[in-house]
Amino acid sequence: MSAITLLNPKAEFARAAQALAINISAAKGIQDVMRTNLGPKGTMKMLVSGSGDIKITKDGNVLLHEMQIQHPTASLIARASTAQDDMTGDGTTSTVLVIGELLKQADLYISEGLHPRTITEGFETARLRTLEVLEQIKIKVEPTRADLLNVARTSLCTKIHQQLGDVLTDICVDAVLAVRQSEMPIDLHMVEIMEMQHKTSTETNLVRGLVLDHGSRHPDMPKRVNNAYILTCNVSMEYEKSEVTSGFFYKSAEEREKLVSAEREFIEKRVQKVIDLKKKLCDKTNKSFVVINQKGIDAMSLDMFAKEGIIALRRAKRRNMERLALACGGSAMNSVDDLTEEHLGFAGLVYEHVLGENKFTFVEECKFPQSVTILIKGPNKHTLTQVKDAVRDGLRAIKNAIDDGCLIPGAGAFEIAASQELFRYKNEVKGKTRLGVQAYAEALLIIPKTLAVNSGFDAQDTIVKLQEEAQLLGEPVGLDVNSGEALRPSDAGIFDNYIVKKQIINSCSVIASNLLLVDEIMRAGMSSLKG
Amino acid sequence: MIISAFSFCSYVPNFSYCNLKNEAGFVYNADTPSEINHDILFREGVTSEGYVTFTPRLLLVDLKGNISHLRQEGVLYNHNQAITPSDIQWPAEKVELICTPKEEKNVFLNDLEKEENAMINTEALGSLPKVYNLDNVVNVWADYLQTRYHPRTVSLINQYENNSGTNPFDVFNYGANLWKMEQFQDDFIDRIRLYVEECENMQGFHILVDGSDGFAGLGTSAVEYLEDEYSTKSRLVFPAIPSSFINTTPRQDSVRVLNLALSFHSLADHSSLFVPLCTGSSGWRQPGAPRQFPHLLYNESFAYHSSAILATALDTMTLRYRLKTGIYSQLSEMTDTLSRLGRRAAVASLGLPFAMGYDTYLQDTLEKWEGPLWQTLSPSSNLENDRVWIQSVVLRGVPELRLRRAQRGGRMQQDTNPAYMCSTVQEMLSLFFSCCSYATASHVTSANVPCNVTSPFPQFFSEFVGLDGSVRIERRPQNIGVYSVPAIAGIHSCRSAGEMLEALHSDVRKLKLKRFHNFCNSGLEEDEYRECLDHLANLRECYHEEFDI
Repeated sequence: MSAITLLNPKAEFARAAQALAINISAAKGIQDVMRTNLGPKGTMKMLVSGSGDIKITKDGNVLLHEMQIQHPTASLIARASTAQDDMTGDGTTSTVLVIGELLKQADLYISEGLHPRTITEGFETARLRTLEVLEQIKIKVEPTRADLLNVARTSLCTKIHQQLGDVLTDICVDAVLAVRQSEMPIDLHMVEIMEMQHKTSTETNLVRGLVLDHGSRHPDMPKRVNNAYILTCNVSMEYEKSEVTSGFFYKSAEEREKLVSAEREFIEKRVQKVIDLKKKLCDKTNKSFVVINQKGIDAMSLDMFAKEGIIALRRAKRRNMERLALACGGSAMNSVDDLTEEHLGFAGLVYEHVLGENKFTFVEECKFPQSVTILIKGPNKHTLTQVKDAVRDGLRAIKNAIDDGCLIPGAGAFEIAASQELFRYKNEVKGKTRLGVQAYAEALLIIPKTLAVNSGFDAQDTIVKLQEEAQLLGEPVGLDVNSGEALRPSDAGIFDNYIVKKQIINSCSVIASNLLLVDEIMRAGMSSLKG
Repeated sequence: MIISAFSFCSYVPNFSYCNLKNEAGFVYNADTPSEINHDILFREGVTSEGYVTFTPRLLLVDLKGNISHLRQEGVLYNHNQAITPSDIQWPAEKVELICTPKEEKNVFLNDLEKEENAMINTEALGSLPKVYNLDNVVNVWADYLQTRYHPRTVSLINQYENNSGTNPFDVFNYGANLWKMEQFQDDFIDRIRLYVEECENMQGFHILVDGSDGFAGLGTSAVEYLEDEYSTKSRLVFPAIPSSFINTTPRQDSVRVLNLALSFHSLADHSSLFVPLCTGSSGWRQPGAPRQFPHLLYNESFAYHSSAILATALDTMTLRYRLKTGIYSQLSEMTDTLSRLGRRAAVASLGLPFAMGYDTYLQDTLEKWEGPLWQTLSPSSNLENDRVWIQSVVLRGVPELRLRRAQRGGRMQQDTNPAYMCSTVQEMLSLFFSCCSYATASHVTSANVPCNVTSPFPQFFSEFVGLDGSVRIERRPQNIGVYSVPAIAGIHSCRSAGEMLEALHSDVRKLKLKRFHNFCNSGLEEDEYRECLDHLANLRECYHEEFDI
């Protein structure tokens, strides 16, 4: 009997071994769902909802968000895993696999009577040791384009088809390199991701400039201009009723009219100021003028602009104000008073593309674009979503590589090396704690094992082969998913992010230890009282 | 104008849209001028195949699993291409197909689909529309959805599940935290922005939000954002409270009260005007006894029924600025006048149907009227014998023809009864209000179109309500439903709005925040909670008349 039943006879509880069994079975369950996804040869999952919505994915993070996890332990693991994604953008599937495996290995010893506390102590020593291995094995790189291509390709090819992966790899690397400013942290927000439901996904491309998801709202405005000055501003150009109840200020209809026209004139003056500047700069030259406003522009103001041949866009994204300044130069203005040429940006080409009811405005041929757009194309919504998720992760992987300044050999090489080191280290550890270290070493092997199984090879065969090879060469070796043989990851260009691996080691050890130390699960909150 | 809706409330706009859509469709084909300006809430669009669409400018957030058969994308823009695993760019043997069982559609939806496929109205001209009884088949709002949505409309929350035991979406801060998630926020504000971008002269936003659960946090965060980004547009917020909760524990009741208090606290700062809606009479811990409508027999435990009532109120009271004819009025005019002196909270009311006898006239009806014209729809307040300062009332479905009896007799009678001086429904009703209430500033709007209540609107009218919504002596035959009803609805700035706030304040004051660890864990500070309580008390003070000048 649990003590909780004295307080609350309706409480449900599970003790010691039973509690552990619940936790372990949950961890195994979620592991089984995710394991087939790992690696470039993993399965793609197609999720069809009751209403026919389709989602196609291979990304662990997307899957975890889509699945409705009811089991409390499983949802704890899932949360750890999505946290991994939030921090690093990759490694979700690995997190789930390693946590599951750590619990599974620990279970073997616990069923033989070892106390969970001893195991967790072993885990802790093993974790520290593994981090040391990670430090030794990391390859310092001054991120060149080739290195970045490798790490991006490794990350992308586990999520989408190779052919598309190659296209996206180049795009992502070029995008990050474009927005990278020396000695400044990279702001991935400066890479705009825009979707167009159109053509096929391999036609996704990088626009060195900006693509806005709206167009001009006046039929007479030009659809395509060259050599354009770009004014980005945050100034309202629409007539609005003043905020105070204007009922106090007029007595008759005429007076109301007068008030309205006075306010209207105020807006017109603003518009006129922009037009004056345009006249000064562009008349009698081949240059043209584009206004991109974060606030509204009403029909009358649009009309005034159209008469002057100015393209005016209203309600631009707040973040695009910043992006525009980086892409074409100039700065975002909060007032149209005292405008001069240096406030304006410049783009070689501005044109509009209409797709059904959606309009896209391309601002291209900028001089030194420090903000770029990845234009994702695809025939349907689920392809777009899939590519978008992949692009996000690819960008993160590249940013991580630049921030870390180092890479880790991929293809399971790190896990093999770490487990071998741990097996060696085990003998130095005194007492029963060494069993924990051993369990940890075994658990790490789940990554190369799953890689092998997903590629259609025998897990044990492969592991033995890889271990032998690693022993022989004295350097990290990984698995060639095509042949099943060992390969040198640095030759094949397979690299993982340092931060991703580090995060996996840390979070998995902590979560697994916490779950192991649970000796009683109870469900006795007020909310569980039925009836 | 844009409507954002969150959960329970998503029941509500559907009804309004059903009503609107019916008319809109009609106008669209027949080319007759309509009284209501549909462009205010609807937008015209073109699909990639070149079909013209007419969809509501609506944004809707709901939990996954609440939309049943409805596809997130809608069906207008993406025709259902059958996709098989072999179409995916991936080795076919490596594709795993995970299907959730297909959701069954009810009779109403199947008929609707058939009709759409045939592209012609299957009903013979002049016949009465079919009557459906959907009371038992409606589980979620999508079950009676008639309007087709734009792909931008529906957003789903994947993190929380409908009726989930372990991880319910019932805490204000869960919603607020969800809003803080970059991906969700970026996506949602983009949707808002795209609607706003295509609007010419946007007046403002209607926001419907479920005030009693996590959606309150999400909705109020959205309102805060709207205030920041579109500061000159009005934001009219309707926090709604479901009309019944089954099997709730005292703890859950307290959680709801906390959510409501926190959302009122935020709305008082960020909205232009907020009008709590509930068909129950007390609303806070428990909805309380349902409001009784003289000619309705509704079951308060069906969200289907109570949301229909709220939707009618919403549809009717917003007609003030949605009419093409009559005096031009704007949303901001209404919100600004009603929220004077910091009285940001107002009380809603509805008379459904506006009970006029068959063949009687408005003047006679008003003269003989006993009791209040309407029922209060806001919790813990009562408009009966209340001191109303400012009100905005809309009467629909009473045409000018039925204003008063044709004049007979001498001029003598006319001189004695000022009602004979009135030539429009507005004037007559204004006169009625000036006689019945003391020093109330009333704004009256009237519209000829009645409220359309054909399916999927629930048939909860009493037997004595006729086909056209008039009250009769003989019973209506069993097989015939009610097709349209006149209705009256209003928003009132009155003393009982203060009582409503006081009731909430005294309920929430009894609770100790420390006992609700879900709130503390999700980021609510003790200080913030104190501030919320003080704010509510301050807001209540605004409704004391002693301070009026």
